[in-house]
Amino acid sequence: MRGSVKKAFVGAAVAAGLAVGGSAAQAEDVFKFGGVFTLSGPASFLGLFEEAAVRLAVEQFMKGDCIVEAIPAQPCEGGGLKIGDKKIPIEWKAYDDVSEDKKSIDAVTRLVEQDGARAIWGPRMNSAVLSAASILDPQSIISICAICSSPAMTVGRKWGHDITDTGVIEKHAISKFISESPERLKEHGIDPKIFEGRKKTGFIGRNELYTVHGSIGWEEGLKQWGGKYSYSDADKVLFPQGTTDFAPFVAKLAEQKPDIVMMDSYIVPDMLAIMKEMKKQGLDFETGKIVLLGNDVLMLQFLVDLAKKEGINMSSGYVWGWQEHNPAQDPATLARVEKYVKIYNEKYGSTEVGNSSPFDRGAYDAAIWFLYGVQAAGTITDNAAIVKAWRSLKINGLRGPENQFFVRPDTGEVTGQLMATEYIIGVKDDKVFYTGINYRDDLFFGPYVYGDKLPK
Amino acid sequence: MLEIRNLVLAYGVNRVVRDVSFAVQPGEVFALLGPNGAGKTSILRAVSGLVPAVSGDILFQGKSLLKRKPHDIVLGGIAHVPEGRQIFPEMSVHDNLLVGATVHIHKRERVRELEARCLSLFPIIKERARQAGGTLSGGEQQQLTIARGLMADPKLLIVDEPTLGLAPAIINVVADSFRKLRELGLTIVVAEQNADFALKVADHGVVLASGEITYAGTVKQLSDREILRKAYMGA
Amino acid sequence: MSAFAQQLIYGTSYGMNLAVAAAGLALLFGVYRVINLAHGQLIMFGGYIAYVVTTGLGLHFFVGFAAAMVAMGVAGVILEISVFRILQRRPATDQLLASLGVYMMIGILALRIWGDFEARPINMPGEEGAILLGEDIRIDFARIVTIAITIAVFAVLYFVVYRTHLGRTMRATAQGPETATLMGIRKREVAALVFFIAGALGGAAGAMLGGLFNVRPDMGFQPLLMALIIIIFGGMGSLIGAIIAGLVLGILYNLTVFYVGSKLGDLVPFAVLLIILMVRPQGLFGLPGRRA
Repeated sequence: MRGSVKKAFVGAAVAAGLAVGGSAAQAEDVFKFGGVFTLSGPASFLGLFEEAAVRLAVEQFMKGDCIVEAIPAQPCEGGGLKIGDKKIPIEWKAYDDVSEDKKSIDAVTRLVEQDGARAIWGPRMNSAVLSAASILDPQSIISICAICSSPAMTVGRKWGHDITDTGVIEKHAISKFISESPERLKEHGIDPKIFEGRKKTGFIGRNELYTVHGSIGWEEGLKQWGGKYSYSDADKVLFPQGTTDFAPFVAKLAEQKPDIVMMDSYIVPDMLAIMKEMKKQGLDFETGKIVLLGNDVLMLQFLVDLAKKEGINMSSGYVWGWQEHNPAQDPATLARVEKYVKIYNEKYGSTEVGNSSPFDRGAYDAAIWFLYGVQAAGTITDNAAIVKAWRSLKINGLRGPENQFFVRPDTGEVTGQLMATEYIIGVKDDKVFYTGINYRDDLFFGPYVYGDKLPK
Repeated sequence: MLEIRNLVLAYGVNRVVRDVSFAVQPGEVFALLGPNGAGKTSILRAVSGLVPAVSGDILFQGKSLLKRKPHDIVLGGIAHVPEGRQIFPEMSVHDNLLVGATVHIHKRERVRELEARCLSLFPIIKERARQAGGTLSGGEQQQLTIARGLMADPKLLIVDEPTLGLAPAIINVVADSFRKLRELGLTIVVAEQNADFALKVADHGVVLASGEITYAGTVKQLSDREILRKAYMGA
Repeated sequence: MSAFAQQLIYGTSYGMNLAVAAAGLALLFGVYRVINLAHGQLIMFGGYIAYVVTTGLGLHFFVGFAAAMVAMGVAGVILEISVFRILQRRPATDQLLASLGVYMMIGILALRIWGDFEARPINMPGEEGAILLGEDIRIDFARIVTIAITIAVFAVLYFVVYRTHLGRTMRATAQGPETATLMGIRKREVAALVFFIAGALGGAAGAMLGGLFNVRPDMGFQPLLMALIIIIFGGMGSLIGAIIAGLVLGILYNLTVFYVGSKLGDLVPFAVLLIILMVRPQGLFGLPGRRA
């Protein structure tokens, strides 16, 4: 069995300061914080790093070395959350859901009913997010996720927090990029001819809710930015999980003769297989027959390296995506990242968690941010106060300076959705690079961002 | 040639053969007679190593067969023609025969000789060589199973219920083949319900009822219907 | 029309891969009366063996292909000795569940060794080139290679099963296990042989699927599912049935994805399964009432 399973069931890391009080500590003397992650099985790569980052954040908070700063400033003195004159230790407990909805919900129930958790991190899968919400929201339990990428975390929910973008918001960004004026593109050294004369767009992804949300964001965005491109939702190509032969799916895409293809997948083997098959079937992004757009996973350096090993050249200038993390950051952010990466890699680099990536940094940011929020509220029992205090804080984090929650322009309400910045990324000479174009405020529109209910 | 000594066989706690002893002489046809469920088939299966003995012994040419594996017993010279015409229905007649020769399939010359012998004994099979076994008539299938048994080049041939469900004319063909096999020097043990067939082909035999021997001696004597009736009734 | 032809080509190549995978299952069921779910993971593991030999050691694809077959053949024999032989007299459900357990174990093992994030490419001959027929129809060399390999594999399989004495002993065991024993056929030898061949067929399918679309830890599941349906469709235990059903299913799957809708592709195998169970439960080449 994977070590992580054991780890999850043993109950994971308890902060150092807790050792003194031990189990004798009373409920209000300990802040109980629980998590549900996929720590074993094929999807564990999506859970291991997130759990590791949150655990590290709790440890760093207890040590008094938070790295991330709150605006306005919050103390990080070690020994626990500073509530009034007291120091309240933080107890972190995580369970493994093996990527199964039922286990997710069991774990959520156990955390709430047996472990007395006041806030719960995860679960990740869309279906589990929705079921967990129905348990957590009525009990005013705060729920948090930093890799869910799902509107289901926040839309229509009072206690949910999505500390990343969503499949909808990120598609708003990339659709905006391809609709930019030639002047703006030129300003950033991008040849506007890349998009000239292109009209028809195609969409391919795995048949799951993330991709369905993605296609909605894509369609919304294309309309919002001037309607230069056509897209037919009925033509989107969705392949089932576990597909081994991608030929018919790519053929269906090719038949539509698209000028631009949005590949909305975060499963690396799928992405590489699709790219290979696209080349074979004439959807060639190496020669500019099509423009290939992908997401933040496509724009990871390691993926570009992997693709190259398989004879796929992503450096043609016709492959674009985004990152939520500015690769060319200000010196203060860089210093924070450097410090964090050193600690993270020393702790996890040689374990199955692996070295730091932008994703664990986002989770770490979010966890410290949340703990600052609890501290700012001055209570560990009043969740309404915690949510209010947390959402009014900003942070200078590992993703960049001044991260904040999205404020609805219509009501002025601060939501639980991170106001994510999307940085447009390209590939040149086999290296991913930041174009200098990024979006934030514009991306927050539509019912999937601040509707009161998730549209059906 | 074959000696059964105080053999006891059981399925679970149910003893189906109780303290049975008899001896088969080389070159004779020996009959196991008795009604259905008398234990004939069980004894034959024990000889072939399919059923373990509770107690007693089975000797072939003076050596115990107990604890020997079925293929080892075939290799030692005993071929078993099971009841119910167990041919391989989707295999050709030719393939059926070759499967019978498995234990010495590498001796190509010998296999060819054996096949030639079988085909001369049972000419009807020769005509059907390429046909699937399952397409043969009942009588043809019975001849095929005997021929297949002979392909193992046995010294002792065990035949279980060869006449079951066969027309009288076909039964005569089978009886003829037994005589020919005997002329070739084979020893045959045949289990039968049909006493008339046994009378035609066998020298000695035993009658079994409920797992016990009720008669042992020459088969000729069994033509006396009174003796036969008593033996079958187990009196 | 050309799009249709194109889908036929893709479907044929996919169907043949599936047929190779299913032939292993069919053989196991036909001779040994076991449904080995772990077969799916032998497909996956075979892909990884081919990957290690071709991409890792830099040897030719055919060497990797042969290595995958031999290694998975041996793995099959190990499975027979360590799991199925022990469970042989147990109910079929026990064997099925045990094979599911083995499926999970092999999956975890592969994850430990190769991780789950990377796709592993296998260098296959003809990866780049293609034959163009007219304007729109293309036949990738890689697919021609897999089709050619499949035909060769089936030719060898046919020869072994129908033209050698080993094949005769396998068929005899399938048609009458006890009678086969009376003929001096050693059950264990036949079992080892059958598990070896079935494993090797799984390895072959994995190497080919991996050659077309990378090797990955979850690549055994879909072929396993399809193979199960194929052997029911083709008639449990029938090799020729597996080939024909594999082709039909592969082509039908591709045509459905292309003409009906990408999301509906997965419906095809199950619809076929339902129809077969209702109309001809013994499958295309199964004899009615022959096998319970």
